[in-house]
Amino acid sequence: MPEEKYLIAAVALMMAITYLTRATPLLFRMQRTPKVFNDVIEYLPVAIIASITVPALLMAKDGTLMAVNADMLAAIPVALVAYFTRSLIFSVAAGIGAHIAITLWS
Amino acid sequence: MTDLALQPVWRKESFFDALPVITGYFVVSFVFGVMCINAGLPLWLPVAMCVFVYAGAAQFAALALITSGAPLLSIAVSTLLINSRHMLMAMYMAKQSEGLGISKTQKLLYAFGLTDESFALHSQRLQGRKYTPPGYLLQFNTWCHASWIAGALLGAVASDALHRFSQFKLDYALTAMMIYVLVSLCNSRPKLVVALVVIATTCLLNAFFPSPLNVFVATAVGCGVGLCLKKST
Repeated sequence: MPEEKYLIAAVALMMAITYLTRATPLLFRMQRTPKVFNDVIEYLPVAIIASITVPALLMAKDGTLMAVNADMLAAIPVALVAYFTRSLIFSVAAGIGAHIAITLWS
Repeated sequence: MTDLALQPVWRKESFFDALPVITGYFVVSFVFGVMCINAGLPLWLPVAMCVFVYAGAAQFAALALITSGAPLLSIAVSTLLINSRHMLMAMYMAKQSEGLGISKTQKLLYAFGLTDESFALHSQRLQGRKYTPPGYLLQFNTWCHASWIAGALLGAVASDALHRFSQFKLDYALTAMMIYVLVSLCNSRPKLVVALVVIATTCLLNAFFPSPLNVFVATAVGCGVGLCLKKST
């Protein structure tokens, strides 16, 4: 087992770094931002979420394309259900259902 | 202190809104707890990490580093790189939370619970112009954090139950939820184009330089494209 001091230091460091990356920008003053900024910020959520979600389904962490797998395939029914029903619960249910079905049949 | 959040009115709504996150977090942190115990770490470590750090990807990366006895500096750098994307999310929330009458204390509390998944659902709610008091946001994060901690604790305690538990792909709830949010955020042609540009850019960057910082470059490219589309219409 690693030394206790080392583990405590690791948790403390990670806590400080994680919290700072989340808290610092939240305290920025945003009352009078230029118009360009206000236009750009509208696209931030869609851009960030597209960037962290879809590529993770297609590629491994080292940047190589993955073989077709259940995570990838189950994303298709999720997207369709999300588009047509606009319901979070139905989308998630479709995703888990499709994932179980694909893993069982492959 | 009365405005600090946690008014019971928002307890129920935020719980049901957060349900996919609660389920997914529980399963993922359960696995985290099991892995920590299997790696020979003490029971308090996964619990402390989930209470104090509360960052999924960074915790799994740190687990691998800790078990290989990596220096603290590399744990710090890995945490910083993986979590740097939260700066973008926090910036967005800083701008959008202005109209919500959020206090500084509430912002500091909110920052602790800002994760990929809470950001996804909160930004979607804010873009839908739904009434969102700070109490709702904080209550939402509290549910998610509680299930994250509970999962790690139970996983660590019952580490041999992993095999029976992992058959259920409940952690796919998180991926499904992110796809749902992505689809519902693409509610206009420019936004759809931005999403596609960002996906292509991220994949391309990952293929040549795999790095957690690629999300910054891809987001900048995507927002730039969005801005051009907006100007030309």
